[in-house]
Amino acid sequence: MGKLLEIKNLSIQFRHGQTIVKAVEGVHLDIYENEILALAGESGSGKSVTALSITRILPETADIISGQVFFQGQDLLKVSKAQIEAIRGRDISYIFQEAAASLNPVLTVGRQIQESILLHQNISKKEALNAAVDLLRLVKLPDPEHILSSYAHQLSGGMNQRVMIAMALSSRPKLLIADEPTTALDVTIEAEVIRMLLELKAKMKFSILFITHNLALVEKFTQRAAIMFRGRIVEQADSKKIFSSPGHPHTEDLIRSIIRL
Amino acid sequence: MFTYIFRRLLGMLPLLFGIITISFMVIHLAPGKPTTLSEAMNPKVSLEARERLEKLYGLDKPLPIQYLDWSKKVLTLNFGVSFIDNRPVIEKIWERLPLTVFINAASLALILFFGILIGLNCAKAPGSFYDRSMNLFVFIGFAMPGFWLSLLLMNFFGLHLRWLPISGLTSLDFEYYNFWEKALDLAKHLILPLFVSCLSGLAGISRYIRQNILEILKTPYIRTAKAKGLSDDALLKKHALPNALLPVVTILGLSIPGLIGGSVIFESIFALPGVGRLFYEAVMARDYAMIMAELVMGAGLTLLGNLFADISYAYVDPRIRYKK
Repeated sequence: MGKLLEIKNLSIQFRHGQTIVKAVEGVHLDIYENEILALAGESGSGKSVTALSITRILPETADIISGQVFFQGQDLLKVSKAQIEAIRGRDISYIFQEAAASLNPVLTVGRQIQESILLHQNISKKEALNAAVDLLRLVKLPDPEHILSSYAHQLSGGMNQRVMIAMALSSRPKLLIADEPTTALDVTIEAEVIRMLLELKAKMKFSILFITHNLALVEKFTQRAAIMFRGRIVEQADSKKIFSSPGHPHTEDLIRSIIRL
Repeated sequence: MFTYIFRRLLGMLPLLFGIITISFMVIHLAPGKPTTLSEAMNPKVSLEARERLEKLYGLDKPLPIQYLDWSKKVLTLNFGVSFIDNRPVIEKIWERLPLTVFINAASLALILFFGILIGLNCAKAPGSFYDRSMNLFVFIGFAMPGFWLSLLLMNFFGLHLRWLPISGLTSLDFEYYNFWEKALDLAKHLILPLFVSCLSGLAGISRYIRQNILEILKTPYIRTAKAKGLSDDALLKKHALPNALLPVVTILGLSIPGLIGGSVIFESIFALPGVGRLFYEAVMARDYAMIMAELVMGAGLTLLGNLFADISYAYVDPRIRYKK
């Protein structure tokens, strides 16, 4: 398997008035083609910040102070604005934690999916709408036509996350960054959504960067895992191995925090 | 929805009643009577003649009785005749209405257009030179008394440069103009009043839009839109602006009474024959019938405007629209 994305020596800090907070320090991370890589750690450890920096969609107060993100031979941190905008949503797309809040409340779901398609594909509005219907079928949403004309607040959390997934996959990306996609969902929905992600990955062949604080998910669904702690990656290994012989005390803490029933 | 509107309308009645009652009392508490003006003009008016006048208008009765008489008439939508020229009050308001509605609607449209434009551009680069100079500009416009600025502008453009007429709606020989000359003449007369009334309203709406957009830019759905690959411009116009405009609908509803009530100060300064100036003249002449008709109209429209704002807000915001 070839390397799809290569993060080298990434450091990010936040400005809060006069104080500067380091969020990510010297992170190295490789993502291979067609794999699921877990990026795990407690809240505030820098997982999401690392993920957002890949396509430069960090908040205004964050600065990338050093590092490179190589993707298809170019450093994403250096390419022009127009180039990175073309890569966002086409080659690398995201799904987020709060799906309902991640969809625009005053635009219909259909319009938002259609917009995504039109941004990266040269087809007519009508064709894009048909493609949106197909995408909703793909994520197993019943009555796609009805959902297209709905707003986010009219759908359940699980449905919204499926809509997000449909939108993220609309241009057949090579990398899907899933930032705690199931944290806000209840356990049964969580399992459904993850199972669906795995099916779609098998069908469409993309890599997933799976960000979570729940090591139980890491063990079940991912091949490799990187454990983040206070802005650094403290351990990187096969997911199974991390469980059988954790190499860092923080990994042990995370494993202990899994609720065993 | 209809039961909601009906309930709201019903709830307005006591409020309207209260406003009208208080207005009636306040107007009658003010010193002077409708007859004072004619006395002052003509010192020879005898006591007898004055009493006859007062009797004619029912002013000799005690105030509560006057109030009851007046209320009875208003309930049948009869606002009576003006004390000045005995013409029906409604008729006098009606002939002044088109000008006032036109001026206020035009000014509101200008405020919305430029306010949204300025707010949007300021939100693009908060703290930039453009943002700060616009901030200064709109607040000078807001803080400057409209009547004073009007006088300065009239002096400069009207007397000094002689570019624009200083008052009125039309020139003396207006009737002899052809269509285009008429349009140009009207435009020349209206440009200053429109500019001044627009300037004072810009601050509110532009700062409001700017602040709203800056807040919205921090939301998760904007991050999603950005992650899709939208440009900054499309992000602002297609995703942030529609959300920022929702509260503006409320402002629109609340400005309905202003549309018809007119601006007493502007119309008086620029000598524009609108509803506002009619009110000013009525107050000066203690023309009770006219004053009360305008106050009732204003109060009613304010309440209806509030209701309209609520309903339209519910209509434009999908989150409220579908709630039972």
